[in-house]
Amino acid sequence: MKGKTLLSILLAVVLLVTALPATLGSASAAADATTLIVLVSWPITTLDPAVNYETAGGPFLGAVYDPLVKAVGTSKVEIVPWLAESWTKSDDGMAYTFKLRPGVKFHDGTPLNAEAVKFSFDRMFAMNAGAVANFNTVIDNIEVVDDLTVRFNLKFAFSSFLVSLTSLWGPTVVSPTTVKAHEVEGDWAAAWMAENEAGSGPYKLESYTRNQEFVLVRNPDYWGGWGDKYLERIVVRFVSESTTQRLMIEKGDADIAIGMSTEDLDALMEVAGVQVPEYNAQTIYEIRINTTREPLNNVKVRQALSYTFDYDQAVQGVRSGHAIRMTSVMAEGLGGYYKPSFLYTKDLDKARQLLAEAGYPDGGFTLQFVWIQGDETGRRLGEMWQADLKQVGIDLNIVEMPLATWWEAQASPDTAPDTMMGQWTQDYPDATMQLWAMYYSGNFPPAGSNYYFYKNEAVDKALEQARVEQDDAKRDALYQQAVEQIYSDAPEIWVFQPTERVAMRDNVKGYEYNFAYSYWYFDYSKMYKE
Amino acid sequence: MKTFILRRLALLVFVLLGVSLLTFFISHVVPADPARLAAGAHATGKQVEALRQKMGFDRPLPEQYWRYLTGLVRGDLGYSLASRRPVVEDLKDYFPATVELTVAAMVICLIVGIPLGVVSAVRKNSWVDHLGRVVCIGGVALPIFWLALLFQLIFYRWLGLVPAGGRLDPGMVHPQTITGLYVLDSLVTGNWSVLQNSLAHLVMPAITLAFASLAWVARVTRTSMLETLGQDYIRTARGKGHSERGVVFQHALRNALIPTVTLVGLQTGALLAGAFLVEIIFSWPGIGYYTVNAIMAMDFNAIISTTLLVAVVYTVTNLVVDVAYVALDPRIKYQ
Repeated sequence: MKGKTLLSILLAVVLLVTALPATLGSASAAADATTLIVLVSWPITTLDPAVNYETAGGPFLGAVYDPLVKAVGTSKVEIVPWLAESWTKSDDGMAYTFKLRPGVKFHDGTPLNAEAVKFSFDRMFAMNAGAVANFNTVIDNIEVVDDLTVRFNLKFAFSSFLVSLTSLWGPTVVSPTTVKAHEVEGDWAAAWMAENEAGSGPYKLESYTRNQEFVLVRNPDYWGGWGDKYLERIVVRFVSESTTQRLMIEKGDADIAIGMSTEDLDALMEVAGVQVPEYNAQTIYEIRINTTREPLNNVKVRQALSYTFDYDQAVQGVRSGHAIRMTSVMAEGLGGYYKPSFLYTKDLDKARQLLAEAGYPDGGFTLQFVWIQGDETGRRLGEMWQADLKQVGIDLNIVEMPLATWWEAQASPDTAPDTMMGQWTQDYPDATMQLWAMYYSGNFPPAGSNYYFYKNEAVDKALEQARVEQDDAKRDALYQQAVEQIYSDAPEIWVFQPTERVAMRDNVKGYEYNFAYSYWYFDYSKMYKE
Repeated sequence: MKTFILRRLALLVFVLLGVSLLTFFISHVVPADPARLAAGAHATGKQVEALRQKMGFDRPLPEQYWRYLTGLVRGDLGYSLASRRPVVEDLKDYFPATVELTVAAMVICLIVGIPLGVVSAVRKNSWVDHLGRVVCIGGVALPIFWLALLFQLIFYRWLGLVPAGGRLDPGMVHPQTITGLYVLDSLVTGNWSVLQNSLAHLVMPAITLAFASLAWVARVTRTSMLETLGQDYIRTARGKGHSERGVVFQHALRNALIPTVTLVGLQTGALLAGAFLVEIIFSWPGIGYYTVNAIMAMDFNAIISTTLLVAVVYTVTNLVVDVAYVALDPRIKYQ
């Protein structure tokens, strides 16, 4: 009898605990047609446009801050006027003068003028963080010519200057009034700007809860104007677990999700009411080779390695077709893309012949291959390559490494791994940025991104000249010459450009993928829900 | 008793010193370049060097440790590389979320685990006992992340009883921060809609987290109860004509609870460890997720600070457990 009382108490407790939420009701905020709920797999760490330098900045920066010029296009990039209506370049390429769009106002109501542009760049330089190196190495000073005219004087006639201004990270305009109002001890409002905004874009920040979400509301006074259909609020919520994202999309509790696993995306493609559009992206996957070490310092060995790699299997097997194989040293679709005169394909006979010419007729050496912790694609590519290398007598020793440890190792050719899985995404959509950063011999780590310690004098010379060449045709010829040389020197194996997939509910309309800014960027002002 | 507590608190200082020393040197032994990582893939050497100096990474290790300790005394836990702000600010944001989750899990663990153990003992080999055994073996054997995904699928996706994750609905304004525990803060400020919403969000992760510990508590209570119920004084009590309820609750349970209380102290550690996986799957912005990110980024200050915090919680809980023994068993005395 007593036991029964106990039992009933126990059951009551269990029932109460499990039934509680049912009485409280659960969430379905996505039902509101003017609110867009976006799930992201990685949280933004700072809202400050002068400091933020991460993919996770995409869903915020482009909506709140405006640049002078913007990059648009789904598969090819076009530079369009934005805050700047027009611009002129001096004959020597050392100065760019921008005419600003009149009537643009910041979210604080103050006018966006030449003074504000100068202030924003000065602030970025003073903060000396994020992507500042893309700009303070190029810009000498900024002049306010008149209220709506601003001139950038350069340190050298950088031929990719205009396209560099399309970057999401850094070259956007902040309101001097708001920044000054929140400045503490000359910190350029660094603390305040990390959690607030001072922009002019189509959306304003309503609230920000670190590591959870930020909420944007429509800026009705946006200079770009509004159509008849638009989104009033955008909630960008951080949900790190892919499965949770998938369940929320399936159930209709969220409208868009980015950063999901391949398996979950595949599953969502079968779900009614959900669309999963796929786009070619500008990120590249590459196997980096340390060109300073025996036997990898021999170009024939590196070429042989390039002939052992199964490019098609990498796309079909490892990425299940969600990639395109690389056809150059840079991503297809970038400005300045050029296809070299030949392509490496898997050809083990040719690899054996090259190895023999290099003095390794039966291979007979072991290489280390590092993949960065968490990069499953890197691990699988390594395992695939290992089997093929075995056939030409080369052993591949696959090593998993935490990212922080790798940063330490890559700093010197003595500690950098023999080969490793790498990824590269452009800050701005111009192949020249990558050519300079990755293949110029002045950019060896730790300061630069020439992870191969690759040095070729002809390439160096061509890159130096191309960087300041103002004649487009001549410049293209120089870059082509460099690409041809780099490709045949094979300091890396250019694997593939993975495609990017965005999961969204069917009723989300007006989405446009942006090749330059990747699938983490949204132009919410063109989107609406039906 | 007072001296005992004071002495234990004094010992805590040494425990923390030891923990900080260990974590500090272990995390610095790993070859890594946190400044390079934090500066971003395309940062220049100068930028990285500036950051390294700002963080004091260019200093000798003992000096870095001394700086950290002296800062700690002033309540300054240093600057986080990953979040680009003082670690104290981060802990203020994330720790309350974990406290809310683990306290809720502990409450569920006790109000379900102890009665389940008692009933299983009193009604030994009945269906309740068998059911309890299945639940307990399941709770201990099933990996918590799997359980979390399963619960999410059933109670969120299929039944629609609970939200998928997070602390509040998307876009909902969080309550005015007093303790950082949403349930408590919304209760204090009388914000009923947020209270309902935060409770709805808390239930599923808390039950998931409680599951394994609940199983342990139920099993240990059952065993201990069985042992106590076989004691002579229980027979005497029954012989004196006490009601069965009186025997079970007044005579047996109180004595049987000592091992359970010990276990509860130890389970605090398990709950804090398990909280990480639960936090990931239910998008719960707590200290577990923060710590793992800190480790990945080699964010030294954040790693040491969270380790210390967990050490404090663990040590203090076990001190509370020791004090609770006295309340349960007057024969126990501390000198």
